[in-house]
Amino acid sequence: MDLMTIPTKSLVYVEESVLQTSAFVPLLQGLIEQSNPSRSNHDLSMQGVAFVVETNIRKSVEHQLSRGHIKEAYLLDGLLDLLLQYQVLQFVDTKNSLDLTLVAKLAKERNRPLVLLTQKESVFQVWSQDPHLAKAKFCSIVNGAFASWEKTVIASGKAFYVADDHYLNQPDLSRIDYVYSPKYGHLRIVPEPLHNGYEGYLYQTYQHLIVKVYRPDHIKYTNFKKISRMLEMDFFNPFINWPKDLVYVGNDFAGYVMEEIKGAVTLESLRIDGFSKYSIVDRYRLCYNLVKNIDYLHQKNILFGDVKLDNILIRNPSEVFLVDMGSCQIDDYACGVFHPDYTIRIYSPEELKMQLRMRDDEYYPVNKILFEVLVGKNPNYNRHSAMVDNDNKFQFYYPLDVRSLSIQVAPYDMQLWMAMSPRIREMFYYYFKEGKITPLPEWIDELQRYIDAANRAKEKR
Amino acid sequence: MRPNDDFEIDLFADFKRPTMDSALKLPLCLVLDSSGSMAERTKSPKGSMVKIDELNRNVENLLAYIKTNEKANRICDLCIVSFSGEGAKVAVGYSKAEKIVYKKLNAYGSTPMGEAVKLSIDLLQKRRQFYKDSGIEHYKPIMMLMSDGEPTDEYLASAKLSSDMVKNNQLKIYPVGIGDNFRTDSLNLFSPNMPAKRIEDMQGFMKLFELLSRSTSNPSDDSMDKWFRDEI
Repeated sequence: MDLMTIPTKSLVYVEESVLQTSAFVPLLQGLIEQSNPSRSNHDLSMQGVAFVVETNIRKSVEHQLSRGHIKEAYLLDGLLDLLLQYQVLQFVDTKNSLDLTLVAKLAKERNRPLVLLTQKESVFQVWSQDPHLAKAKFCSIVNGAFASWEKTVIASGKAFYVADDHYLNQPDLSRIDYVYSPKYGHLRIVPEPLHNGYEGYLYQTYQHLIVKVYRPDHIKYTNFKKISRMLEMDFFNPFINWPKDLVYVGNDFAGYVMEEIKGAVTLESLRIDGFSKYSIVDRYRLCYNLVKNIDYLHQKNILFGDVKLDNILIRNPSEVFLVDMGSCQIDDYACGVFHPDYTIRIYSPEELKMQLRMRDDEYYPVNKILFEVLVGKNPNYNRHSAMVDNDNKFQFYYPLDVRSLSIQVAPYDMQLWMAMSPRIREMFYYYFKEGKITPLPEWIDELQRYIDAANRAKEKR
Repeated sequence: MRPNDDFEIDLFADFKRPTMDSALKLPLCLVLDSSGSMAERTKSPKGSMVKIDELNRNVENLLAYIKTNEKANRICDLCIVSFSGEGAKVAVGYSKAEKIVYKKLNAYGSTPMGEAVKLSIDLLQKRRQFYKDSGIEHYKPIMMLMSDGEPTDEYLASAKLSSDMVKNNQLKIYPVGIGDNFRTDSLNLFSPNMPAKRIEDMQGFMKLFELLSRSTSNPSDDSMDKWFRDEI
């Protein structure tokens, strides 16, 4: 990031993350000093800069307080008061920074250069794709000064792929009684596969382990290298079913071994069942834990890859497991599978082998799954046809404004939609209507808020 | 804590949940020819078969698959309409596979395909209304239309009806011709997107029903489409 000065009389939109760090204070001091370098008078005009924040930002103060984050709460509150005192602050409804159209309009009307300020790269990435903000400057604060976010070219990279697989021999898979793992020794497997998938078969063993044996066309050097790489990593998350060792049939690589997750069902099974045994708050808890696990992967630059209901196992709302991790995207090893219902784009076989996906690609399945859990329908569910319409993935019929609707007569899915916090409704609405991404940490935060509020409400009863 | 006035309702209360055995359904309608010619043998170079016997056997296998596959059993809502000398009749009304007692079809009489397709669409529309009223989401309905001969009734209106539904994204139809005594033209009139597939022997039947079984447990699987288009 390059340090920079902003034009005088800029209109600066300040995203919440900026006001939650002490970095904003030296920035204000710098602006004041630039306006009045000799400090000869009491000119505190800040070079004519005006600030804009989200209308509901004060609610974050209450939220921080409710979570015991006293310092952050008072810092945020104090900064807002300070800007109000200087008469340089305006509140605009931006749907919690998801929609800056009104801010862009304001800057245009007042003929002011627009500067958008955030400390979060993920927020910058979302803004930088918004055509309404094409003329804006995107900044963060570094060492008390404005620093420009660089627009990165969003293009996926090339995956590691070896077309000629002469490094590996094909094992004889016609009958498998045992596989060999260097770590666990010989593992006897239950002959009937537990699951028969696109890449291979899952077998139970008698040692509480599950073995994945690839189909012959997936016994590839690329997969061998990928699993080996995964095993080298220092990775520990009890809710992510990471490979534990390679397995061999005879002397030949055939797949990998992982832990058996007992007493859990697939999320798909719960979805078909309509979450009949889950309370609404249980559903939020489930989502919270799911997003935390996926975010854990993203923090390590790993993509879950084959994100679908089948690959998420639930023991209870607090124990949510990600499975089939052998198909994740890690380093330059691609994810070779996808589910047509849980992807925006359909990948050709060549793309699956050779192309890396972007983190943003994973937001469609994540949003869709969260919606399915919280509302119990596909996001493009249309009650007039009641049909799952995978040809129109961004048709979204749920309204943002629910104030005119009556909860008493609404169908169950609409009741669940209305029972969301306004912020979560916005996050879904703007994603499915306009493709605006809410980064996973924000999802975690919002889901946590809901759960906290539910717990407090329960205590009060 | 966010102020309560942020929320319109008591969001932590649980609402009255609709009772349903599944929140997702896949309506599947088999429209099967049991006209007299189905009692004949095919003359395939790979071996002959009595068509109606092979059809009955494969329908039973399909039911067995659905019953044993947890997901298919929960989502698949199956209906069977047959057409023969008696006209079109509902052999099995929409129900879960585990509740179906399949009575083998007997072959005789004419081929009132138009009437059968009309009846199937009427049943489907009623079923979809039931889904809507019950708040049940459903996958795009699948209709498999199987015949070994030309329709003997006035079928053009029904063909237009089913074609319109396909074009309007309301129905997926798989037309299947058994043996070589059928003309693709008439079957294709029912199906504007998917060309009629000819099956001539037991392997063809097995493949067709294997792919259909796969669709019942994974409605997004496009293997059946690819097979019909000779892509696999």
